[in-house]
Amino acid sequence: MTTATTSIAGTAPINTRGVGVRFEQLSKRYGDFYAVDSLDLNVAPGEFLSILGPSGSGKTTVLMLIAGFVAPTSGRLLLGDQDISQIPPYKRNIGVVFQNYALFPHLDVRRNVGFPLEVRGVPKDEIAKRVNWALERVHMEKFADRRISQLSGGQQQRIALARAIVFEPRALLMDEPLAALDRNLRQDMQYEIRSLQRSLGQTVIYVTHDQEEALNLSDRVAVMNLGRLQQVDTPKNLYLRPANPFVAGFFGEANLLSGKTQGGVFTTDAGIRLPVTETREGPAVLCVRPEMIVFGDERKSDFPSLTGTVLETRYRGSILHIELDTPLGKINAVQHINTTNDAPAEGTTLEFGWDPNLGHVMMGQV
Amino acid sequence: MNEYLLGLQGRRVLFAYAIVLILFIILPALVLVPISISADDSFVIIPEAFSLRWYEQLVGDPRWRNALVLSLQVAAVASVMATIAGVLGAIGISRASPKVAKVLRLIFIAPIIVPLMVIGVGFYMLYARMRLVGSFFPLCLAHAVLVLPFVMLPVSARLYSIDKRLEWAAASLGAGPYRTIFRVQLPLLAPSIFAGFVFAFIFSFDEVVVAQFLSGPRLETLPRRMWEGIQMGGLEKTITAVTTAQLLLAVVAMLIISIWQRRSATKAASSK
Repeated sequence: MTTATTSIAGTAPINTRGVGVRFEQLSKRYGDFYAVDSLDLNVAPGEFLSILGPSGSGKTTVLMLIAGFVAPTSGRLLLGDQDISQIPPYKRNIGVVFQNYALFPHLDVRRNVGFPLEVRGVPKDEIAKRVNWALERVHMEKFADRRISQLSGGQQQRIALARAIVFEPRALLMDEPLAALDRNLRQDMQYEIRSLQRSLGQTVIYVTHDQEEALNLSDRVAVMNLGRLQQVDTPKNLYLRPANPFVAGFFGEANLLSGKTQGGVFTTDAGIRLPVTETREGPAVLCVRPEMIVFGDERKSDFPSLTGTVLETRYRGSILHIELDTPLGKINAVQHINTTNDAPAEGTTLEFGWDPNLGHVMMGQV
Repeated sequence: MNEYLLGLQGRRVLFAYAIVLILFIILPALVLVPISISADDSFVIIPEAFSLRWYEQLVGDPRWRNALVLSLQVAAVASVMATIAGVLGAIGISRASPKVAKVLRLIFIAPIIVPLMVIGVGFYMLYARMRLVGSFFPLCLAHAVLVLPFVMLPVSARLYSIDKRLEWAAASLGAGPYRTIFRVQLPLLAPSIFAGFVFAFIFSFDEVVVAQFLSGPRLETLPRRMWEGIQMGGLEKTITAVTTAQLLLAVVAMLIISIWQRRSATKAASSK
């Protein structure tokens, strides 16, 4: 607490350095319902981590726990090396950006951004300097004397961002900050949030239900479902190496085959043997992404060789979607439309397969 | 509901009904205005000569003047007490658990549901035992209880329309609970607090039933003076001056409230 207060009294420009956030077996229970169940997670200083999940996954509760708006039922929450689980929100020094901006309507832009500094008793001329610095960071210096009601949604979100960084918070939380903005503006803001975070070295925990946004912005993404953490990983690994069928299905489409694996061979429940790179053994689910599936001559010798009947084809923008009836069950495939070839007619029999290096085996999942 | 569905005939009937209703609401209040400024002793609605003599009497006659001053004092003290208690109560209730809040809200609103006569008798029994009948502050206290709902209702309504996240935002920015109340909640509640204060003031200024029980022989509030004036000597024209002044006060207060609320509504609209 004291360190952050003294650093505020220093002169601008400031180089904010975020600290790490660690969750240790953190749980929040409402009656018999676990909104967050035994969460273990380590956010590195300066990391941009998104918490992603469908509604009701507990992601917002996690944010409320970090901000201190709700108290955990059990477990510890560490900011840097300090246990903050019993510290009230106004003593945590964590900036929060809300989905609806939550700017104070009775104060103008300058007073809104200066609020956290005023509350900390920072001298007036220092406040003015710091407010100007923060407004410059979000390109809103020309709007300092506007009333909040005179600003558009995107501008309000920039002010909310300035207000959340002006007091050098130890971490920055964002709760679906772009959900209320239209699509183009959302992309501009994503870029700006990312570059602001990089230049400040700020630790950011970003809650969203939008996969694209999470993948675009984050160093790592924590996927939650039903109060439990499913997987924390880089965007690339979440897609190519999902930990379980939920994660596999959450990011794009997936063909999921259940069976067991042994010695580099995956045997489906129906007894079909497929080559895999996984060397462990036991029950597992094989995940094959639709775009990994290749047809006819494109297959190499080590690819599984299968045949299927075309059930349906659909053009979806730049890709052609093919649904096949195969001995494995229904298989979805997509092809990029880069030839003038027509889609295969319904009822056509096609030979298909995939690169065994790309098929992903999820052990222990049935 | 679209009134065009009623057809031409239906719309005419609806319009006529609305006019009659509005006249019925405002005429009894307005009819005394011209009477109060007529020079005549008699009650003619369209006066022949104008004069402010009835207003002069209100201020000049010591009995009327004392009653007026006393009523203003009681209304001021009572509505200030009710405003402080009501605002704090409303904020407290908004933070209580839903079940507790429901019960508390009912208790705080009770003074407008329970008949005035019952409250009057109740206070009288209590005060009589404590020898407080006929003293100033106990009367103010009773009125404060009476007008508490007038503060609670608008302030509670406004509190519920203020986004909870503004409180959270203030906390995340480093403002403790008290600072959040003074720097964020009270400024946003100001128009509704003022509205509540005005309603409370007007009701207390006007209140006759409870005052009748509690004021004893010495404290004569204005409504009580009017009531006695009517009972003893028939209608005295000073009463028309009182009512006109009250009417004017109420209209001005309502105008201020509506202008203020419109301004703060446009301010708050963007924060929702």
